[in-house]
Amino acid sequence: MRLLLAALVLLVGTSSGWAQWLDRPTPNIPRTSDGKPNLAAPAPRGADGHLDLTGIWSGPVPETRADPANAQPWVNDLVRQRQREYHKGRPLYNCLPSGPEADKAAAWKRILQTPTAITILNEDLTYRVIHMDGRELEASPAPSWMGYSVGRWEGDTLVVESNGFNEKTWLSRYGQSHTDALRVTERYRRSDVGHLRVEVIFTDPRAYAKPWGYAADLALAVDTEMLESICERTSDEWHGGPVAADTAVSVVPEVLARYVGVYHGMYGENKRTIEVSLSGDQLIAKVTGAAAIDGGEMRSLIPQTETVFDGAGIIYQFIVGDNGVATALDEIHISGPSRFPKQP
Amino acid sequence: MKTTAAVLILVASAGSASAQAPATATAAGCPLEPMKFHACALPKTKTFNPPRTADGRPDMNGYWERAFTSQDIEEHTAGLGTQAGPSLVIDTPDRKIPYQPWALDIKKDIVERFISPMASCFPPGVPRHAIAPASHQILQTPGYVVHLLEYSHAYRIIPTAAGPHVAGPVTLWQGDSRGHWEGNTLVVDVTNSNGLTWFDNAGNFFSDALHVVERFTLVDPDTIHYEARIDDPRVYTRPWTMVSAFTRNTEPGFELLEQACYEGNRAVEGAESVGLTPYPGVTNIRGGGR
Repeated sequence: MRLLLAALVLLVGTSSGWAQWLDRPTPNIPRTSDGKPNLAAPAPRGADGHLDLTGIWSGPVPETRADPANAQPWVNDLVRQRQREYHKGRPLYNCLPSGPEADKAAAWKRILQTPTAITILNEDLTYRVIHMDGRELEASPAPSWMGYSVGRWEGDTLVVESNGFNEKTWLSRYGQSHTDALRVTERYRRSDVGHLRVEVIFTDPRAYAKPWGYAADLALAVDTEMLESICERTSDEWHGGPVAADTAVSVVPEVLARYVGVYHGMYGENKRTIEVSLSGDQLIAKVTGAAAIDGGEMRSLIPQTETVFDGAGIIYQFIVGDNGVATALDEIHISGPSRFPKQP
Repeated sequence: MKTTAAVLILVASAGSASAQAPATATAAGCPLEPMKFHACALPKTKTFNPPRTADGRPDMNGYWERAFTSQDIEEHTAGLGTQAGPSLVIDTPDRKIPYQPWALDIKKDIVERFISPMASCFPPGVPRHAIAPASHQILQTPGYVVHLLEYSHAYRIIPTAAGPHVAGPVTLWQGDSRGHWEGNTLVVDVTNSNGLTWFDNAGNFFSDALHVVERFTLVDPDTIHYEARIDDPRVYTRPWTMVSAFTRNTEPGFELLEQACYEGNRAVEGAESVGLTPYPGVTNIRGGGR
């Protein structure tokens, strides 16, 4: 069991705040007269005339809640079971590759392009090679975590088809499963220097009646560097969700209901909003303001005491009045707590 | 695509036997024994005009096999599940790593105290990346060389339009690589190592002051001469050099498979059950060791 108690050490690169001091001018991008990157300039093209997607990209985590009515009952059962387990089986939490998981689609990555292959190098030291030499997908490929990908150009859109996924990866952090029949279609379009839109469709008739998917809007990370984010089995610095799940206590829903609300304040120089809601018998926090580009991150709050909760490795403590209703929420970092008052 | 099992059962501590070159093996007409290879291959690189990429660089794109495993970069005899091998060190009198006395003392029983970093599925670091298990792939684009591994789906990026290294306090498993071309040789300057990786499974080590200068040079279209100049004044009495070779994998349709190293990895549990602990870096051992 100890092997499953993964903890993540996110060294660098997961937020723009970390990246800012990596002051490294990005070569070969158009700049305005004052030296700033011109992100609205036309997207570059390679010698073969195709758009060149080369660059470091990241964006807000796309919202991917799938329609339960479209899923087979066993998929919905797994989603419920995984929520009850605080998603501790998520591959990311176990140092395993995230494969097609939508929540990693907009994570920091470097794309490099050659005429015969495009590589996507992720900050967690996983990578994909998209074969561009005209080969086709195999009918019964050997299953893997990251799948097998071939690509082609349709005008200015790069279309990537992938299969060969094992059945252990999730389609989102909410725990939607898939079978090894999964096929993923991605459409990449770089509209200008600074922007790359990816539209993703999951097709898996053994798990979902109709194909479904999401879109991610990636922004070019300029004048910075992507470093590495290496998963360690144990760490003194951050024990992730699985550890918290093992030490969880039970708090009755009537108490949890007193914490529901919107908390708002400053974290460093960024405004941060934490929306706490009740989902079944669990508290969920939607945290917005962790990064400059931010679509909000959902965190299960795992009770450690009646007022102290663990949310993806961050400790949250509700400050309650005499009636037990929360008046503020402390987000506790190594550097100390930040207090977010509850909004009326 | 290879249709064998997609997950390579390569517990990080073991090299794959097939990648180990027999003692009599040659490449580019040179014996692979590192010192002989170095003496034979370097003159050939002076006259060899390599195939070029579209932007005029020597073309190293493709799949490669390492000439030697990273069982032990010093000369070693065969052990349980491992093969004998020569020293990769070419420029010290005894062809051993020139440890300072205190460092040699730590080296003596380091593998009996600490879990081999690659048994824990950590990235191999540099220079071990060049001798890491299983097959390798090199991809070149204008401005970048990417070196992909099957082992633990690791990779390293070598920017060749090199700016300065990242700032001093940043330490990285794979270090910070800055490359440039000197004639037909890819020269890579590597700093910012976190000092938590080893050269090999034998516990040969460095500190986070490690500075590596690597040289990748094609000897013929299917052979790379690889050299790493190692400097770490905290640990060694002098800089030293290791040499190995890459030979091209020309199997038709060959591709890298995927090794999700953490999947079912029992090596750490096994090591912990006999009292080994995670390797904390030599600075921490020296500061608070026994």
